[in-house]
Amino acid sequence: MADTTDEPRRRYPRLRLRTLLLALIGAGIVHICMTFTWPYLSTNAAVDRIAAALPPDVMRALPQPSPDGQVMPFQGPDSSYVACKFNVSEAAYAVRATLPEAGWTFSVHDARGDSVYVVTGQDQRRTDIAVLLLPPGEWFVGLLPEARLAAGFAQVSMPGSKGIVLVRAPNKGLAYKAEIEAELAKASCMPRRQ
Amino acid sequence: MAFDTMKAMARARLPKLPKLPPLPPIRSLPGAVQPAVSQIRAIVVGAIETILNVGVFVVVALGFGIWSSWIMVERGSSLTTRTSGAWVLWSNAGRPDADPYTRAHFARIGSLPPSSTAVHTWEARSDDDGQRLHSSCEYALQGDGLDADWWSLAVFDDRGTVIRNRADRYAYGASTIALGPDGSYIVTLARDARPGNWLPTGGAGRFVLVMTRPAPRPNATAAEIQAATRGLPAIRRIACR
Repeated sequence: MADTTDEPRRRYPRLRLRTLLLALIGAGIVHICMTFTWPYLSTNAAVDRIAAALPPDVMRALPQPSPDGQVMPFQGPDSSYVACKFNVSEAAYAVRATLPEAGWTFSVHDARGDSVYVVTGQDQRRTDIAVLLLPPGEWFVGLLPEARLAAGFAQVSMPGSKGIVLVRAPNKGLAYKAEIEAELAKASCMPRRQ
Repeated sequence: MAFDTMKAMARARLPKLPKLPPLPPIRSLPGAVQPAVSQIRAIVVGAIETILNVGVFVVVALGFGIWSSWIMVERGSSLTTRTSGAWVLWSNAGRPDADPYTRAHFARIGSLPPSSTAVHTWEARSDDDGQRLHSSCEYALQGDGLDADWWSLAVFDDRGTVIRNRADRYAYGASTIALGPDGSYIVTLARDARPGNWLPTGGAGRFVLVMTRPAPRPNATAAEIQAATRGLPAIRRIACR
């Protein structure tokens, strides 16, 4: 007499509570994986777009946004930018800039656009920035001969070899335009070999 | 009466069919057949149950996982954003220690926002009633209390491109807006020219407003942080075509 007692229980397929609990755990894992995957799925990376508009190893002004040509989405017409694309796989990069007041920002981005190093301008105080961008995992300590490269610079070890430096200045109107452009033009970015 | 008579005559003409014995219930099938039927039923039910459970697992794990991640990255949550009316601010935008949702949000958009420690970039995609901003409608933005040296209010289409217009006007700022005597301001968003502060939205379809202003000092008091949201304009729909 094969399982006549089990028969009523097995007449219809059941959805097990264990399945639902496992599905919720699975949803959590998928949620975390997708959140970290979105940046890699983007086909509209800001760094790629800026890099395509710039020569390498030089700090250049980005064009003001217009309907015919805009380097990156939501690029404010209220700001001026200079940017430099770099590749630290062959040389360290020495970057200098000055942030004359609040509202100015200096940022170093990796190839995915993540901010690696950020400095913001201070109210009524000039902030001079000197940064040496290094290949992943490298760090010049004082005892090594390479350390003289880094003298006077803050060292930033990049997570990848490529990226961009961006200096942003808020536009405060025509009266300040020339002053802001002159300040931005002083920013520099160049490879530094031993 | 005639109909009843005809019915009786028809019944009388029909041959009498023998009564069939009732079908035996499944439980009373011969002993060799019953276990086989039960086994087949158990196998079928088991297979359907497996398919159902695997299906529910896949749909819930993938569907809910991807959907919830998308919502957190696209719209943000109280963990990652601050809101004031229709305006949304990603609190950790442009910072090296930004959370994964903020990083994914800006990577997906393809923009490099300024650090939120220096600049607050507020976005509005809907009016104060929660309706999506659209160029077929006209809006009035009304606010006051913007006392910073610089700030700007810009309008972009849904893809983040400035909207083409004959006036080449894409934003208002501290130096270009016309303020009222009491420091308040009204900006009209419309396809066609309007008196006063007018931002053209012609032909954009859905559009996005972006307001950029200085962030409060790092050691700001609670009152200063609260004041940082002052001046964000109310967004009121006037009419739609």
